[in-house]
Amino acid sequence: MRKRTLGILAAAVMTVVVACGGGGGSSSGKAAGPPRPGGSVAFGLRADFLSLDPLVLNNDSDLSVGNGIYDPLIARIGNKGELGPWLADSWDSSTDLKTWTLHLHPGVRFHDGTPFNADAVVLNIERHMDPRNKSLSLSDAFLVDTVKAVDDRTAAITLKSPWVDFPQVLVGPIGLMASPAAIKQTGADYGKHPVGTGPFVFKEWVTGDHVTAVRNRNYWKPGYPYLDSVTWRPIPDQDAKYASLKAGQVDVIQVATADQVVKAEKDSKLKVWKYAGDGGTFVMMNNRTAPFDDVNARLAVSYATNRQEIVTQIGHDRYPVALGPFPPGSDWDTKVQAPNYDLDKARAALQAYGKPLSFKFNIVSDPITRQYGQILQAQWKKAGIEVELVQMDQATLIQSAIGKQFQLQIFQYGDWFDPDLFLFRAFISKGSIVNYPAYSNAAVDAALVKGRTISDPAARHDAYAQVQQALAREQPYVWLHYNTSYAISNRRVQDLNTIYSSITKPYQVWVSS
Amino acid sequence: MLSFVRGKVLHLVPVLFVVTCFSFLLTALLPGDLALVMAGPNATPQTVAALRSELRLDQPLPARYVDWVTRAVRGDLGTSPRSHQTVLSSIRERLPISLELLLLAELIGLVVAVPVGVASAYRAGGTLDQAASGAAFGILAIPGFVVAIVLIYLFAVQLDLVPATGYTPLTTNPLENLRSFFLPALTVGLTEAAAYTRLLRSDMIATLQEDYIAMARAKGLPTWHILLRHALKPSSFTLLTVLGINIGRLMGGALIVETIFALPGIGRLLVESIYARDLIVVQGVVAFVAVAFVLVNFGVDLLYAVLDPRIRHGRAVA
Repeated sequence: MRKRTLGILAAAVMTVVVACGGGGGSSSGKAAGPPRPGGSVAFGLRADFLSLDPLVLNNDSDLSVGNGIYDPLIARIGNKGELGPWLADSWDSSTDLKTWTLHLHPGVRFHDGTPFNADAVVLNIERHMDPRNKSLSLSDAFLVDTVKAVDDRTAAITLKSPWVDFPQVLVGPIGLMASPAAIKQTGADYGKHPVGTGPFVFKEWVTGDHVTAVRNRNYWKPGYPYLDSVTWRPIPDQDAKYASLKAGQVDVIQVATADQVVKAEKDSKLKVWKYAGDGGTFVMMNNRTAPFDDVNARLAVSYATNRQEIVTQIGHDRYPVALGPFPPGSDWDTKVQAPNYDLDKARAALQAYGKPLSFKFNIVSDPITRQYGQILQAQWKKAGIEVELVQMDQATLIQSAIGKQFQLQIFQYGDWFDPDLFLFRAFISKGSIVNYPAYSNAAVDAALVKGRTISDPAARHDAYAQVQQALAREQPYVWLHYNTSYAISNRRVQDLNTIYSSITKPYQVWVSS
Repeated sequence: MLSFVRGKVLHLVPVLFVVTCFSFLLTALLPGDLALVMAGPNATPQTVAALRSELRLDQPLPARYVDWVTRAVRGDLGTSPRSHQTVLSSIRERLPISLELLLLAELIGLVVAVPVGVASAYRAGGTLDQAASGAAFGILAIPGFVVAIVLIYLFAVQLDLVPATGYTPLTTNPLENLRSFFLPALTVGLTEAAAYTRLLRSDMIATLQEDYIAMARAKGLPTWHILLRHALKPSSFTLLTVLGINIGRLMGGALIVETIFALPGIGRLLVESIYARDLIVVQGVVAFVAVAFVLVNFGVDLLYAVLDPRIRHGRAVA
């Protein structure tokens, strides 16, 4: 899933720093009794989607529909997004982490009746690899060298270089299996007539208004799904989306804002669902040019940043303050001492820097990001740091990040689930266009490569502890807060538990009478 | 008349050239490398270069413009990298929705504005005139997105009469279709009505001062006959001009209203494509809207000539 990496595409959807909230736990509503079959649920999505071909699925909206109609090879099933078997009963890798073998679940059929097998896996993944198909997951597909069907139920994927996190890729669009027969039959029009093995069978599409899918009566997971039908409606305007929930046009709204969450918590007819993710919002500093080529300048900014004030003022205290890449409770967190708000230390760092500190702060010119800019500007001024806010559109912001033509810039990344998916690209000194701050540290490089190419959890833990320490010491990023996915539903909706990266999965959802 | 039309058509050519040129440049000059975005963070420079050449991003700008216009004239506005759907088929799918919204909104606007405007002018300064003026200024002062949200809360959440958002195709259920268009058409229509009422009222007041109206009154013609048959037509020029501009504008969809009410029209296609940085769609839609705008106004120009013979004979309006 592209959103969890700090890719340019992830950056492209970072428009605003919205929809955040905090704490742990999963939801405010406990299921009312045992699941009951029947009924239907309408989901209000954030963005419109024009095709349901796995080639173009890439955000929380279209992937939510995709997860209704398709099944992934590997799924997120744990409370923290841990991987679990789905269309693949199990998987293993060669010792060099280059060849990954998937053992497929027997007896699964696509909605059109054709069998799901290793040939289908080969065809689906090769579709993403062929640049002519312009897959939006091409970036991940680049890393695959070959896909082969070993036998009917076994597929082997060989990568161009070792990668411990490859199974994570099979949760996303590349792992969503479409019917080869349907792709062949409908050709270029396939995206409007999706056929998967998933819990719901595509039924109707009114472009721009809704997609409806009905229960797959022959679903290979016995007992699932519960609902007779599911409808997905894109409603881009936040106020209209909330009003549609209140008026009953939709039962769930995804990617709810902090304001809406505060309102919904006071409304007895609604309930709030959340996933405390590990994605984060931060400001990054260009380590290559003045003033931030000097670590003291970076430390001064970090110590002068009052993260709690931002979380309170912008996020109604609904997301946790961040001091580093790993959120509280993360298995990877080694509780490193990282700079936090301390004006005295900020002034001391400024003294060590030796000159007055002033710089340009690039932000996107939308109201919420402007608010971040203004609050930070005021905070830093208290330490004697002069900031000029430069507003730009998103495209320019991304371009200036890639071209390293910035001094300090606000950014955001999505959930990443495993440190390699985020840290490697963000901080490796060579060969990554998303190492925006031009951070360079040989020891960190070695630790990142180690973390990517070995599978022993303890050794990986040590490698990332080293990275965490270096980041705390050198502050290429000043983390502000972690992001939390929120959804709001009416009270009849049950078991909407897993909303990783704001993607909902309808297979386990049911409605109370 | 024929030479008038020919002259207008000759004017149209350079205008269309400039309009397409600008809509091409507008998106072509935007910062951001489409190929980089499409290739993603794992891309090698070779792949990015291959994508650039496939998208013709490595060609000089004039060559890209000529290529784009030549294909656009043939009906090929490109294919969206986001949806793999051709721009033209996206427009074709969404145009009827924007047109229906346009039609209903202008209908509401005119149905309200013509009687109210005429009546206000007839008794300028009277109770109706003052009430209408107050209401018109009120509506014009409130931004459309506020009107939209207020209408949603009133008609959908509180009264539960119509859906808050969404769209039902005309062919599926005509009644539901009208219900889904009620709030968006009302939002756009109310603002149009307010503007049209003001325009018609002031033109009408001027017309009613004319000698031939006094003459008609002296002849003892009934008031409604004077107002509707003699005064309305010469008073409707400004209204017609603004109507033409509004229709042209709404051909491109009502961006905010379509987004709020989740109506899948041209405006929403444009907004979503901008957010998704789908520049090929943005370019195609902007060009389409610009050309439509020019053509609608061309139609309005011709209509003037029909309404007022002085224009087609090249003389200034008094």
